Amino acid sequence: MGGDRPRRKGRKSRPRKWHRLWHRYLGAVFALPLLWLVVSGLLLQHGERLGLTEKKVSSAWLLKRYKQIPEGIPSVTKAGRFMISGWDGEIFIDDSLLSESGTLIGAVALPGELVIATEEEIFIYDPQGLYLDRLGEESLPAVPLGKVGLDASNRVHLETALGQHVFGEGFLEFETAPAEVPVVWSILEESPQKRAALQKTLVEDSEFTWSRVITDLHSGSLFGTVGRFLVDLSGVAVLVLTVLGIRLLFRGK
Amino acid sequence: MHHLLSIILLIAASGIAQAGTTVYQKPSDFIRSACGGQVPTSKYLTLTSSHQSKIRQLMGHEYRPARVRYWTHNGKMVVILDEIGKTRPITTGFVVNKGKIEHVKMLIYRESIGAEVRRTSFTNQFKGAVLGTSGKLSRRVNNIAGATLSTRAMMEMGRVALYLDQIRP
Repeated sequence: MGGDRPRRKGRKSRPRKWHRLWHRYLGAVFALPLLWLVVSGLLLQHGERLGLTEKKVSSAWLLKRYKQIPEGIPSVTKAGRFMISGWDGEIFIDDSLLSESGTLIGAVALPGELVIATEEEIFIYDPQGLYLDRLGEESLPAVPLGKVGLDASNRVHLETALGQHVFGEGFLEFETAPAEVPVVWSILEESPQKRAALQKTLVEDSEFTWSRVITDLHSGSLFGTVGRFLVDLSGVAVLVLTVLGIRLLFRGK
Repeated sequence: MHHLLSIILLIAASGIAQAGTTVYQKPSDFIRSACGGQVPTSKYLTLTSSHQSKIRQLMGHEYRPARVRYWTHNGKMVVILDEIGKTRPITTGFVVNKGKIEHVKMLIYRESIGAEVRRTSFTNQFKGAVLGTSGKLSRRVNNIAGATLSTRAMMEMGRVALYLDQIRP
């Protein structure tokens, strides 16, 4: 009997040692990801109470990462007393962001209206900035639009692949523009110095909430395939650690 | 720790996908199909504050822009409306005839999920609907699971289209 005991001990100590080793290293390697999952999970669980669903992301750096702030250089044009800017699809009157978007091609000011033209649409505002009208491709001679301009009679001209057209009263109809009528076309200029002011507007007007960032970090989907794989791996690690822990607990006894 | 978080966020941001825009039918093609093959001269309706007040009851907010363009053909009104689903506008064409919705088609969808509302099985539910005195559609429109906000937006636009038909000259 006494001779059996050391052999039994020796046989069992090897897997037990192996279990301890794996438990220790797996625990160490996955401690940080697991901690993050737990913390971000708690934040999500209580997101509403903590105000994460309302609190807007105000970090320009983070918003840039999320492509909420464009990379390129803004284009600007003057229309009457207004400075119109276009920046990667966002449109600004002076430094105010418009809800309407599109690639800016120009803007002209009529006595009571401001006309902003994008490649696909025209937006019309009153002098107070009230959004009056939208002309989509169904109301335009052709899209994309090339240029927008004004003649001496304050009629709005458009240049498209189909030629030059001029709008009638109320933008209800258009016709081919007579070639001899001189038109002052709106010209866009790149303005790197406008960037800081427009970026400030975008950060202030950002609708991007922290709950979105936390959700994306918690699920791993923010990191694409690699992120989701890491979250899966962390889940498997929890399973393995649980099994090893239970085995060690009972073997220890 | 700060650097680690920065690196994590940097990698993460590269994987973020932007929702795309899908044009199911060009608005001009929709108007053509409803107006005998041509786009008639457009008309517009300027929404006064009393109109906007009624629209606020129908869709929860005022309609932008303040002028709504429409087209008429044989007494029918064709109107193309935009309403935000979750974050982006859904462009939808409506044909209203004698106060009843005759045809609905989702033309442009810009959100990442919820485009199921374009299916005819959904849009056919609007056919024949009139605007009740309570400001509701006379026909029940069943929600699509997973597209609740888009469904809501479509119903709001349906109510506004019927109201515009009532107030147009």
